[in-house]
Amino acid sequence: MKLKNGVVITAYGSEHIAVAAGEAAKSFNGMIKMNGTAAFICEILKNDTTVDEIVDALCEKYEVDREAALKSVQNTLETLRNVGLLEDE
Amino acid sequence: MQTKKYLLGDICVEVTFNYDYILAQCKDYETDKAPDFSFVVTAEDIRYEESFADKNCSKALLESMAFYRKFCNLAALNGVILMHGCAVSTGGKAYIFTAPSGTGKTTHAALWIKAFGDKVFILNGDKPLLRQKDGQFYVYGTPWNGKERLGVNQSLPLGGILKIERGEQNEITPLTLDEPLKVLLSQVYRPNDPMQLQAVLGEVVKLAAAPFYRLKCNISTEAAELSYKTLTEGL
Repeated sequence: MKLKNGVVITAYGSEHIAVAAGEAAKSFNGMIKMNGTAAFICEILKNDTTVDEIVDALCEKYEVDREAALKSVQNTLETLRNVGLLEDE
Repeated sequence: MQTKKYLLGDICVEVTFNYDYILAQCKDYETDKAPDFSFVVTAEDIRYEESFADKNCSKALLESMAFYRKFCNLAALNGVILMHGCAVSTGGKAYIFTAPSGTGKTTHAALWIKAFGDKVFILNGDKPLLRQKDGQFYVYGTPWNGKERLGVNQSLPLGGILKIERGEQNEITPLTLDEPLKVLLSQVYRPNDPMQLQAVLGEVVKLAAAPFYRLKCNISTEAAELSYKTLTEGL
């Protein structure tokens, strides 16, 4: 799975915001606010990946256990799925 | 075909186009500087505008709109953004009145002029440009200044942004939390290209820190006095 092309993320104070350009903007025209972990997950999702790969990357970067990492990944994926920004699942 | 150079938001663009409309519209913005970038407004660009413009738009007007869109896409990479709003100046600063079309931005600007006379002028009635210089946002007049063609070729430091809503009573409050960001994301031009949008977004998050107010207002001198005092002196 991956993020649709055209999702753009930028830092906003202590948080991040994501908006969509081009193709991705056709399904989503709003803004998503996210924390640093979710923004990191989105960066990984810019290339085709799997839940396991994202969990591995999170565990390495933040030194969290797999269970906590999986929960973050699932939450972020659900948010993205709800606004139609995930593809090739 | 004709080719001209214009200075817009301190960026020199060399543009090639067909219709004389742009020639007349952009006359005050001609420059001799070396271009930062050049492009041709193509038939395809005009067709793109046609796909969401009013049915009765002339080809010449569509070409002008296509010129501005292409300019804004490229200028984004130089930190220049377009905001839909009426930029009004007083005391050496520019204030942007923003709202969905038809809410009364121009009407409120006219109330300022009626109440404060020569102290106030319209920098740009519809589509000013913004860019940062030394950490301060500046508002630039442009040839795209609305139906009433109100504007001048000048740039002034941004003093604040006013979101206008219609109301029975006049009331002004600061926008807080995500509100400025939401207003900006709906009123700032967003390029389709992800890199250009990334550049715009980088400016938008900084612009969200500008003094930002919501004015609920009716059409009265009292409304103009309230927003004028708040924007120029603070709450």
